[in-house]
Amino acid sequence: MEIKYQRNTNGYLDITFHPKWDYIAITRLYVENFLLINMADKENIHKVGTAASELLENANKFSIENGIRMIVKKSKVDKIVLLSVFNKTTKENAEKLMKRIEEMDKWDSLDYYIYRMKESVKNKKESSQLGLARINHEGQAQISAFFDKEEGVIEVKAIFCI
Amino acid sequence: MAGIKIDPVIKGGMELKAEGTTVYISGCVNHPSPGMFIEPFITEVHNKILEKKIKEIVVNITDLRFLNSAGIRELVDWVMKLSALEEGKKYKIKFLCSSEYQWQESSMTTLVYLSPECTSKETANPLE
Repeated sequence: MEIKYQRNTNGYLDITFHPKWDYIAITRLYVENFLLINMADKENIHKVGTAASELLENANKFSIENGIRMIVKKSKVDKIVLLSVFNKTTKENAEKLMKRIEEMDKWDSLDYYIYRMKESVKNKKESSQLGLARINHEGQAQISAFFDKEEGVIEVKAIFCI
Repeated sequence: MAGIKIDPVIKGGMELKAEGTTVYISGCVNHPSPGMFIEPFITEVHNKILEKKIKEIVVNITDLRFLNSAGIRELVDWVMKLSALEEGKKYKIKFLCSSEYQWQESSMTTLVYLSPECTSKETANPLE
């Protein structure tokens, strides 16, 4: 069996776990500790940790099959950290999420976060849908998503300049 | 000054309590539906503030290690409810933050943007 990992990074982490909500908090803490190696700025570490938590919560909510995968990569060349979260979901959920990212990209990050905050309290039966706006504004991350239609897997990626 | 006292709520990894004119939220909020615990507590706090005509309350989150976005929504809901009150009934919320938890700076700054006339944010001195 081959153990796959990406070479030439300042740190590469690949975790797959069953989508049990209780694992999210310990994964966030693990990610923050992982980032402490080769990274000194606590603020940036918290930004990535919070984003990991928010993306894992989303993956947990919208996963239609067991199993969530998360990759964290510290670039050796650029001052960036890449965070990717993968889960199986429906085409409808994937399209909704990609539209949300498209909508978010048209706004100033603070204005959009405030807009989403106000929207989130209008219908409290739904999930808060604040996570992406939070990562976008508080984390100043560049967010994108890709849906593999054949596999039914969505990847949500956040890139942080550190 | 007349204050409020609400029995502590300890659920889902968080603790909520109100003493005098301070509300304490501590622990770690990463429950999928924290509103189940936070909303009834905040509603009680809000109603008692109005009943006792308190004009300023401190929300001490210096021991709140993490707050997920579902938890943020509960605070947004409180601030929006406060902003919608008629002028004479409005009170002020001061969020007391800790510099130890970096997320508090950015999350609470944004929350204050929602209603700058009713909310403010202060970072506690870590030596105090």
